[in-house]
Amino acid sequence: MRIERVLVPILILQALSVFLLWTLNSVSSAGQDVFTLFLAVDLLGFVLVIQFYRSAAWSSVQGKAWIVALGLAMIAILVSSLFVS
Amino acid sequence: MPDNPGKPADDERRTFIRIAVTASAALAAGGIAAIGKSIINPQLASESPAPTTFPRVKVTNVSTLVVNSPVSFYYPLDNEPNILLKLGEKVSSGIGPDSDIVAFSQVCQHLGCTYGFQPAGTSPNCNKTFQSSKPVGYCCCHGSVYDLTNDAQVISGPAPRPLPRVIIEIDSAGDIYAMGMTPPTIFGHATGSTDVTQDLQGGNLVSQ
Amino acid sequence: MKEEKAEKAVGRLVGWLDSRLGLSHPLLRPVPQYSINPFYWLGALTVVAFLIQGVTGVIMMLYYVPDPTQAYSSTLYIFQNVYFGRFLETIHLYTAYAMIMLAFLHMMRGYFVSVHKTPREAMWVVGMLMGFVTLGFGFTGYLLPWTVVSKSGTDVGIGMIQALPHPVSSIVSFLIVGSGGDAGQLLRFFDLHIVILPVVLVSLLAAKMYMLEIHGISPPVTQKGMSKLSKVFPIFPDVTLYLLELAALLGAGMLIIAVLFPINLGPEYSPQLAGTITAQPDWYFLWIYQILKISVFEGNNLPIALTLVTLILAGLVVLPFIDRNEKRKILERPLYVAIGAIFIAEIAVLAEWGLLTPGAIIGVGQAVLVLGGTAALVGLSTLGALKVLPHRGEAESPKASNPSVRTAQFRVGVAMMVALALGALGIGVAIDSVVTMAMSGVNLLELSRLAASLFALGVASAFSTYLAYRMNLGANPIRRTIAILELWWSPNED
Repeated sequence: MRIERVLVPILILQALSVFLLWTLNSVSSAGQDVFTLFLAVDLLGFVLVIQFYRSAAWSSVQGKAWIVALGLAMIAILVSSLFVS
Repeated sequence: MPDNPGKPADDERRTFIRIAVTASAALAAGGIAAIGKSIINPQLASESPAPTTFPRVKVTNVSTLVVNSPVSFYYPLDNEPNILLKLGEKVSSGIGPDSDIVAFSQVCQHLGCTYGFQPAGTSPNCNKTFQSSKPVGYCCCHGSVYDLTNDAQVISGPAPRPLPRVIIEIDSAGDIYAMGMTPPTIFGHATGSTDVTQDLQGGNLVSQ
Repeated sequence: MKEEKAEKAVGRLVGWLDSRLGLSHPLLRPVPQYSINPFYWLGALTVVAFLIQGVTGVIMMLYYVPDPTQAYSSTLYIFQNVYFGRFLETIHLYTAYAMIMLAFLHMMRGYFVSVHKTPREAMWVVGMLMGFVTLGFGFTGYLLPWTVVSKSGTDVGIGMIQALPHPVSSIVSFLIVGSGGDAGQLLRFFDLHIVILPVVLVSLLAAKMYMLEIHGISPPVTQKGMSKLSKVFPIFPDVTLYLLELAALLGAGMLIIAVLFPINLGPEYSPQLAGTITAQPDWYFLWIYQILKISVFEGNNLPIALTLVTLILAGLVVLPFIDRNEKRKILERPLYVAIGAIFIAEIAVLAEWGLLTPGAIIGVGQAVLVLGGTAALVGLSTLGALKVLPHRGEAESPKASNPSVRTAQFRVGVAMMVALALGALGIGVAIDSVVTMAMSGVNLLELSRLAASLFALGVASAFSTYLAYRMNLGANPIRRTIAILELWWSPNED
């Protein structure tokens, strides 16, 4: 089913971020920036999942646009974390 | 907000989404909880090496000293109190023109109380039955008595070891400087150890 | 199926939590569909921001020392040595700004949709008090790092408070400064920031939530909103998840801003350093700062300025008793909507101007020109836009559904706004040239400016008169004479 193909990767992303958040060294300022970005990814993943919960979201064009936008934002933030350190 | 109850495929979908929402919420909360790491003591996790050199700090000037009138000062950290005394009699570790200026940690080696200075022939307010013939440090908590004319050796009471002595010196202008500590370590800093660099950890160095 | 087992497990867990914690018990009334819209949740998001401040603040509180000799060094310690220290400080600062901005947006949205009318007048008053407490959080928190900027800015603020009329100034000043001296002041500010203001805010919040529960969410003011009146959603889980979603978006936004704009602690306060900078308050007080900088309020007239600011704020508090008519829709209360728009514009203009001119006294003429011009421009544009927007759902003329008529109406609306803007500019320049000539004598340059502005004003007046008649707002004789022009404007219309 199409939904699982999107939701499962998001949950995996969230789990990965949480793992990183707990294991990162966070006294250095680069470490803190990476922490901030991964926490943002975690929270945006949650927002995405809620959008799916609100069923109107996945059936309307506007809702789909939101979901795509959030997904792209998450990817952008993940990529930018590579440039921070 | 599910507003299409309809078909069985939708039911399965809704089931899965409910699980996903719960898992996602738990992960989001778990991520936020990671901020709690900030309540871990940074000293323990600090990446910077522990200090090993004692600061040189001016305490007072010899001209302001009065016999049996102690001067309080913090050294080497801003939470470690000490007293500096002009004893009025020559002692082996005393400095100054009369070799009678000494300084000791003011933290009792028994359980960490702050003791008071008792000139010879006086009684502390907390124990009027005690009177010493020499200048001593009397600790009101449990009655430890330190002989300040003899390197703060324990005369009586439960203290297990003498007080740490502050290494002091006088310059040509009469200014008295604290420069280091002699063993044992100050109470609360690897108590009982002879490694005086422990006195430099657990607070902010005094500076001037 | 595996999914069904998982669902049953989750269901049992949620069911257990529900029966023990009473999650699905209707604690708060269900929420109508028209309010599932971020604008209705600005207040809730302000509370979320407050909670973020609480969490980050409590952690920092473990390390901060509220004594002038250690305030800066303990703050620096948090920055440099504490796990996530810089992160905590940055989030705390930006979320403070977000909280103030969200509270302001919440107030303005409420104003525009008439939440302050019957029966919610008390909610408005309580909300305004919460707004003042929020500003108090900003004021007290700003001092705590004890940097040059923060201490000197706060000193100016305290000076202002002490310039208020006598009984008020001594009471307030004792409350926040104590018996004087830096150590007492810092300790009072710290206590206010971490105990007194939070307790007051939470108490006011409880009162407001209770009243919200009694009165419900304020009714919608748009056609689209009215169509979504009947459907309601329960608080748990639907509305809770929606609020969590918005909160997560707010959190993610704050985090990204924190990474893009990292902060650094300025230098520690010392009287010598303070003398080298110009004291300025934080952005949310800049509008007050700018008013106080107008030359007419200098020296002995300072209390007049402070009284003026106090009157503005008091006016906001008692708004429900001033704006008493029952009209709620935006299109039915153009005057108040225009006043609201002017208020926002003036605050924004004052704040930006204050930012650009630190320490500089503003001449009266310039103040009148800028502030008056802004008011005229925004006010007339708003009124113009409201008058020409088609009243949706109230169109009596069948032509309203004709697309070419709507296009024509849109064009007219734009033209009206341009005309009004031109007129406002004309008025502004005319006033400025007259004032300049009054102050420094008549000269050719100013005369030509006056002539040009009066000409522009004339053109704008004529044009807007034409447009007003074009919209059936005028008398028949004039309509008849411009019928030919009507044909030119919209050739497709019947």
